[in-house]
Amino acid sequence: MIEIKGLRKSYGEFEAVKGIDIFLEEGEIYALLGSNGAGKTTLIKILSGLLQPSSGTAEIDGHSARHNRKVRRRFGYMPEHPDLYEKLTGEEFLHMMGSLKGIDDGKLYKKIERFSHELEISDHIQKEMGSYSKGMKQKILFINAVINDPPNLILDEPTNSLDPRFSQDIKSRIEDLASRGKCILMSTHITPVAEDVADKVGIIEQGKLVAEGTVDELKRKTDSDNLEQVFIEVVNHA
Amino acid sequence: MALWFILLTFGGFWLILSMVEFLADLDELLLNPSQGNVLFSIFFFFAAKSSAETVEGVLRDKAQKHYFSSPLDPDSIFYSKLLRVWFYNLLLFGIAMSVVSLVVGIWNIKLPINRPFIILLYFLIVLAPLIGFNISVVSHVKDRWLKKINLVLAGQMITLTAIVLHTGLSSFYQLLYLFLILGASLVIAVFLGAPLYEEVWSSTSQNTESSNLHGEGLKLPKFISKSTRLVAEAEFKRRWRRRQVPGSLIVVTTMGLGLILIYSSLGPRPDLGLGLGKYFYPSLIAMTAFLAVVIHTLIPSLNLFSRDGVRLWCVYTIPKEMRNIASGKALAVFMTSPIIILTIALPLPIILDYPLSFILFSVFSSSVFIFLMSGIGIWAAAKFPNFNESTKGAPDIITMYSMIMLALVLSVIFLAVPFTLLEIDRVLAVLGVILASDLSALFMIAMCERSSTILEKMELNF
Repeated sequence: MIEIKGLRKSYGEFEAVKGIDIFLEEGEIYALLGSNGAGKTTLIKILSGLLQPSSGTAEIDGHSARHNRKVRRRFGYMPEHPDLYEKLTGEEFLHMMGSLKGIDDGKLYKKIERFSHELEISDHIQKEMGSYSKGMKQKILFINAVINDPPNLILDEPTNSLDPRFSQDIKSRIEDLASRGKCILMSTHITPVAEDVADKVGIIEQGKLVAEGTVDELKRKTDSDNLEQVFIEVVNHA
Repeated sequence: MALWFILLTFGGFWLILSMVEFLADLDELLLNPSQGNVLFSIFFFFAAKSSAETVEGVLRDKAQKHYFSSPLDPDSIFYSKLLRVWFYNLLLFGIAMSVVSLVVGIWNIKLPINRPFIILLYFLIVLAPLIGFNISVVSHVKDRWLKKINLVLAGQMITLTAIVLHTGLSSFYQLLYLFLILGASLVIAVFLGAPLYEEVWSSTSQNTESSNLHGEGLKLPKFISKSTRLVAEAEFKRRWRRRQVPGSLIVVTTMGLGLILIYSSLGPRPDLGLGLGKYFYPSLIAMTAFLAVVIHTLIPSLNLFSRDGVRLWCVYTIPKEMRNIASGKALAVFMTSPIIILTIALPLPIILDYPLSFILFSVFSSSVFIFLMSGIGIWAAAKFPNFNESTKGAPDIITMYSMIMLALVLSVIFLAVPFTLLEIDRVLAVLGVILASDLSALFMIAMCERSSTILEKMELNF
């Protein structure tokens, strides 16, 4: 369960997030849409415990992830940019992160093998990540987020840099995870991705949540044919 | 501008003529073999250092794609990079020479060197970075024959220099010969390297993957907590594969060999006009050990977190306490530091046949340096991080020097009493330095704790 209440984040005079409320239940997929610099990543970073909110709360299963290592077991995080330790191999990185998340070695190696086989990176998993393409790094980030089977997932642009085939694959995995009761908050620029998988969509503009609802509700409200039109309509009138 | 050019031209001619006149007038022994060996060691060190810097900082620098995609002439990119490596090495040499001149001037030390030694030293230092740069460029050329021919030529230059310097220079013609062969290698560096540079950069920067994954088998003992161990192992592998660890180990070992070389050149009790006598080698060992810990432990510790920069999210999203992460990072640097004891603190006292009490004093004093600087390093890494990606997290120069000075002050405080006791009671002095070593280890642990508190509060706003 993810609950964000009256969340604000300021950097001096500049207010990046201006009082946002979001609530997600188990098995729900929530897609955050927004223009560049609208505040999506800031919100996701606060929720993941990387930033301290100026006011309000961002909680996962009833607790803030900031300064709370127990909560960190209860969510998987996938950052927007594939910034990884380039001198480690994919396997070494996943082994380190998985072990630190408490998975024992036997299970961990099997999981790494299975995921890398399914996402077609088996041939590269034992090479340094510095030699990976952006898409391959994105796959490593996705595996890292789900490897310990956490009940909540926070995914920042999960299909970025992936070709259409793997973008489709990741989408179906996200849907599958939600069907198994995972609570998933994702941000994306790609409106068809949100339209395909999200149960609920929130549109952020200049730090405010300017629209929220199911895809059908938003289409009806704005008299649009698809989510892209909804987004343009909402942002233009925000 | 024309006047400036004329001045430069005539000035250059005057300088060359003066040099030739000066060298032709030399009737004293130009250089003896041991001086030649010292010169060759310095030359080889600077050439190797430049070569390593060229591979890591120039050939693997992906950001040069912006230069190559611009209308800039590829040759000018080559020359600018060559000048950068050259300039930084000369700067380092300049700083080292300033310090040496200051020390020699203040204490009126009589170094056993003559004018030809100094002239050759400058000449070799000017050429060493150019040769190092050239070797790195040509050794990455794809064409096998071109690579072999170039490397054989460069190898011959270095071998000839070694032979000439080893046998000692006793005539002007030998000196001229040395100038000529090294001058030729300069021509090779500049004229052969430039056209190859774009191809070499392209193949090297795109392939940053190591063919051999070093550090794979590293396993730390189980008494260390699992999370600290995992972080330390990963950090160590990354440092090793970036060649930071082997580079630093080579530098420390070279410093240890340098000490033995100085001993073999100056003998067991050099006076050098200082009246120091028996204190000369103990002071030299202490200074070298301090400097080695600065290079091997303190400076690499300063960017432990800032080097991660945008990758820090990894350690902030794992369900472990920050103290385990900070300790793991510190351990990755600390674990190789005992090499300083093995290469610097131990060999020379044993060679000099010092009593056991002094050998122990030397070992524990070095461990005080290691603990103190590991502690300062991990604290400063969290307190003064530099998240500028273009600098790869390197600490700014003011922070670096402030921390070196802090290490110096703390070392004096921790070692002052044991050192004073050395003149009164050796056993007590050894016990004192062991206590100082324990206290400095506690200091290191306290600094790890402090560092983790600072990191907990840090916001990853990048």
